[in-house]
Amino acid sequence: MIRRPDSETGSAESDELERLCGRLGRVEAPFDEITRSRAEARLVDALAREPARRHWRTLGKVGKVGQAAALVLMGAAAGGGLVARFGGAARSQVAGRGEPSLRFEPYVVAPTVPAAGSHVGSPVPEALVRSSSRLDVPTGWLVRASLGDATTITLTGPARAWSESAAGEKRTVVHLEQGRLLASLEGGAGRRLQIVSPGAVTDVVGTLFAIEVVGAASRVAVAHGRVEVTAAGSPGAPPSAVHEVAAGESWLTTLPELGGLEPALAEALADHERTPPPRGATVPLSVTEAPAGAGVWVGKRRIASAPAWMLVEPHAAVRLSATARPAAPSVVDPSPPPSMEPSIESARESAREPARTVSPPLARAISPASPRPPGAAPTEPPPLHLPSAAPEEMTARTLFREADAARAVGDKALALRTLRALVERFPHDSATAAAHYELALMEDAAGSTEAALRDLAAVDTPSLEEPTEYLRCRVLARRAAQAVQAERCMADFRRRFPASAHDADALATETALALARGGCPAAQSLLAELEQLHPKHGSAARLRAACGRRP
Amino acid sequence: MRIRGRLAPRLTVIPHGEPETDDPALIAAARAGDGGAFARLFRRHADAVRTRITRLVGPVAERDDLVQKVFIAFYRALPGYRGEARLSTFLHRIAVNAAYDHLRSRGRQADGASPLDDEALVEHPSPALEEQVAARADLARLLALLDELSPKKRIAFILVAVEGCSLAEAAALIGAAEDTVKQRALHARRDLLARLAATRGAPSVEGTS
Repeated sequence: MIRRPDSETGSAESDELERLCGRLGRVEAPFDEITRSRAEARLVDALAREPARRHWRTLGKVGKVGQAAALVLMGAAAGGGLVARFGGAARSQVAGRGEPSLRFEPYVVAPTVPAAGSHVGSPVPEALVRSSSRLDVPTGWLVRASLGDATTITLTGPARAWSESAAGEKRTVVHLEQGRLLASLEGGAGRRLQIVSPGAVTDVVGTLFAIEVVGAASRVAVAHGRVEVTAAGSPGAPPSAVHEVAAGESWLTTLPELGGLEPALAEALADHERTPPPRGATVPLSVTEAPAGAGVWVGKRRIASAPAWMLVEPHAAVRLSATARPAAPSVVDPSPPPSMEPSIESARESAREPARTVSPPLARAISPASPRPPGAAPTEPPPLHLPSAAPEEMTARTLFREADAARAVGDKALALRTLRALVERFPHDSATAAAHYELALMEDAAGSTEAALRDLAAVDTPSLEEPTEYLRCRVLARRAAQAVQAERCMADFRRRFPASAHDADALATETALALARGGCPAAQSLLAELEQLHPKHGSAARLRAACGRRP
Repeated sequence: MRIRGRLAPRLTVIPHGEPETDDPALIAAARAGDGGAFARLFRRHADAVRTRITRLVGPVAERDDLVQKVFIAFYRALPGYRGEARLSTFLHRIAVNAAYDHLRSRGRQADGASPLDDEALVEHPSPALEEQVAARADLARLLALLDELSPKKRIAFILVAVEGCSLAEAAALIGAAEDTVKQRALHARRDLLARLAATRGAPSVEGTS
């Protein structure tokens, strides 16, 4: 054990150190409800990407949620005969095989150019849906897949690629044997991606680029960042010859000069970038019996054309828009024939399990309400809502997690919708207070102070009392008409929660409000307190500058 | 039940009122692929891990990332975990390693210590209001002093002098010999006392004035 003082120091310091250590020893730092939920959601997300996720059936329940058609399916208004099939398996179950090598994990499979009617009723090739270290994409199909946690690729058929890297390695190697590959690598410490294609070895540290096999050579084109291409196997080229291809450039390995990035390829790369894999828990969705080219929208993104298979987040807002290409067959028949009844079916397990019929309310939901008037332009269909009864497995916690995941990827609209669904469906759940708080945060950020205050008034959990009160004061502070009330609110808050994490911000805001109300004389004592307690606070110097030198 | 009080074991905070008695069953279920069981283990132990991390590295913004790292490491170790140590001890060991890695990488950065987030450190049992304010200043002062120590000394000192571990317990958590831990903790104490003596008479350590 540590003994008390040696001769070089006095007992005063020793006592002081004991006292300080006692303070630290009594510290507890538990999560609050919100940060715990967020931490859990992040952990689930991280573990879902773990190579050994065969152990992680976590989201078994989420899979069931998907099976219960918990996806919020919206509209199919003018598109008679759109059929969506929901798979019941979570991504981890679909993709995880537990083998050591890193696998391509497809998240969108769709036709490249839907020929009129050619794909109607035809299934998505099952081989493309599977997680695999080898992808063989036939003509006319496009596959978007993730590879590890930082790389996403798009392969346009005919194309063939395989991955070589082992789980846990920092470097991922993709061999492109045929076709065109679009790829993006999220840069990070030690992350490297290498593409080996005919005549070229391309090293990437973090960028958006394309590689196309052209005979015995390769064309490398870069949209963002830059890559290093080593000409491989070309006669006369020294083994160490490295060409750097930067953003907006392309290079065919058999040519001496760099070229520009073709607009069509730039657009394809932008499309690839706009369609990242869903994060966190996912369920497979298969849109099979839709008119060729009918759009499949997830949130605000049109991510594929029917027929398509994709992984989506549970409760994702999925729209099927009947904006088929002009050459597509008529889509104005308002009543789908019996054979086109919507059904729930696992994309992968369809061969083993009979398709199950969706509940009548959902069938009504995805049946068109009225045909599009002749001549009217196809538009995004209006949202149709799920039947009010929540699926058995859907819980407030899963909804909260989904909202968090939506917000993490920047889909605020989906996060808001999901949180509102949570508070409506589970008004008495313990997560509801946290959902109200989160709603208030988002509404405040969007400038909807009235709505934020309403939601804050609904937070009734003691553990959220402190952040709720602070947020209420902050919302009031945004309203010029309530500056006095906000100042009082901040002062009351500081009296009630003197050890609050928000104490410094509350004091700074109170000082600023006092300054605005009565000038420096009114703010002086608060400013002195701010400088004493929180000298490093960002506002301290600014407020001091406004009031001149310290008296 | 949260255990409170000066004499209560400090590291036995069990969130959500759940007993730890069925940890082995949950671990077995998690190892067999039941993600729900793993999530339950997380919810049960996350608060304690966060508290330990906070004591070791301070209330830094990366705290929650470190908690996540601890549970990911635990997840990876699941196949080999045979329950020789209690789960809370096992997690404590991982947390110590994570904290050490964090402190070491922070030390390599040019700007030294990470900025503290502005979340309060909650002291239990809750003292009077004025006392809480004073406590916060004290903690900021101690953390500033600890930032001057090397990661190894800091961790040894906190385990022994703050968390009350025996040298044997601290050595097991760190994975070093008892004598080594003792030397590190003693050196840390000597350094801290010297710094305290140097600041005697000054209003306080920088940043806490």
